[in-house]
Amino acid sequence: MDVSVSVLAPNFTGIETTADPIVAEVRNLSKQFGMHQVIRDVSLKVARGKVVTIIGRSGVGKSTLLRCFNLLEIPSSGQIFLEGECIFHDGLQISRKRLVVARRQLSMVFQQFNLFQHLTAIENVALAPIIALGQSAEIAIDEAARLLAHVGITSRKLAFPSQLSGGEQQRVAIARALAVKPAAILFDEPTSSLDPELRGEVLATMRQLASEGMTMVIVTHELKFAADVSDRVVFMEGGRILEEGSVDQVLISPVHERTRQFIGS
Amino acid sequence: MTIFGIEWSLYLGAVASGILRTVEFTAVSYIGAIGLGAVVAIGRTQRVAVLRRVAGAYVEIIKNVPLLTWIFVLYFGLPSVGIRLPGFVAGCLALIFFYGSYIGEVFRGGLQGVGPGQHEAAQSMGLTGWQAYRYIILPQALRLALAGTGTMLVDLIKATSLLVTIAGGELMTQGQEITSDTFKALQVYLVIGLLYFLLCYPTSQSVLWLERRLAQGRPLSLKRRRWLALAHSDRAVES
Repeated sequence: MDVSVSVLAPNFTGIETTADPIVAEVRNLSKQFGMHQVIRDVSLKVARGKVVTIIGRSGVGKSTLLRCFNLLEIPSSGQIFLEGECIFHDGLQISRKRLVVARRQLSMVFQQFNLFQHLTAIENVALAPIIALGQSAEIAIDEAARLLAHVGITSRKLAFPSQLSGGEQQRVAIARALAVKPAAILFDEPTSSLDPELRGEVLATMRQLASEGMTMVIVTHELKFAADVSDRVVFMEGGRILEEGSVDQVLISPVHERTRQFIGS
Repeated sequence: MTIFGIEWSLYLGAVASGILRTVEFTAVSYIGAIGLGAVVAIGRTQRVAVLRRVAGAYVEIIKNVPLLTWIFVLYFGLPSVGIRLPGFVAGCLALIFFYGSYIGEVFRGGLQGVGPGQHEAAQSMGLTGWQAYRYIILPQALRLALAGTGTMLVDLIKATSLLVTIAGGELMTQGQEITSDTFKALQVYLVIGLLYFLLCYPTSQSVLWLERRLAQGRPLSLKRRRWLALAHSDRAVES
């Protein structure tokens, strides 16, 4: 896991965080699907140990923006930086090999869980360390069991995803994302597919991670949760960042009318 | 031993040879069809349009022309352009050509049945494309394709009987010979039918058994067996 310093002189605009190193950054990012402009000129920095929450109406580009960070979506233009290294720059992305390594730095938790159906929970968590990181099976399985215990899944570690509840599956997914020891975890509406009664356990796990200093970028509709854990909140509208700031600035006393409408609703 | 008034002990050799030939046709053709099917499935899921169209056209042609036509084309038709294929070769080629398409479609269904979320999850873990296929996509695709592929095997066993038309030497051919010897067509073909049943039924049951084992979560690879053994041993810290 090398950290290389970017040779480009960064042009910082807007509010600058403290001296925390920047784990991930997008600059002037735009994304089009055919004629439809989904993201317009978005710039966002994610500092180490901080929780950044992206909120906004459905279809406003939040998930697309998140998925640009680990290049699951290829932006139409802009730049993406990962731990100081430029991994995407106006149409040119880094080699497949480097991309694979970079992606491990930013593992993702999906709305639909996307657990590997043919593997048990513990195998789901241990797979990437064994295959992608080359860890020995003994160590990986031990570590996976520890991570599952950490998210509160122990007795079910040998169950298959189809045998687990939604909340359990998502917690396994979080353990899986942790297993590759990422620099940050991206959460794409992690509780939107869950029944209300199951959301609490997943949000509790995420709160725990945040308190442990994990760098997190979360797209969510759970505003109360966002208010609890976020260091920065980003409100998106029409493919742009309309407002960005601390929880107080965006959720408690927002400046823009649209933000107020969204939060009030 | 006399069954239905026919002294079958006279024909044991013929029947055994017929069954052996059937098994030979089946084995060679099934392996060939699986190979061709894999190629077709990959071709049909490619982004390159030319590959997709070629594979698609092949599948459509096979779906709309009887197997017997291909058998006749290869065995009776080709000699007129100077290619004289032995019965076994012609029979196997026809079966491979025909079943490659159907098995290809089953494989394609299996591949496409593995949702895009699985690809994305594998990618976001930092697995290479090849690793994702080997550990995530193909194992799931295989489980989805198993039932269909097993059905095709049984279908193939039965289809070998069409090779009676080119004196293929398999079970049905032997049945025909025994009939011309005994003139007891009904009795002979009932017994031949029973023999096919005894070939096909255990096969389909075995496939069902394999499906059930996989559904219970039994691992297919040695690697996974080891992982699960490690996971079962209570080395982990219980919270």
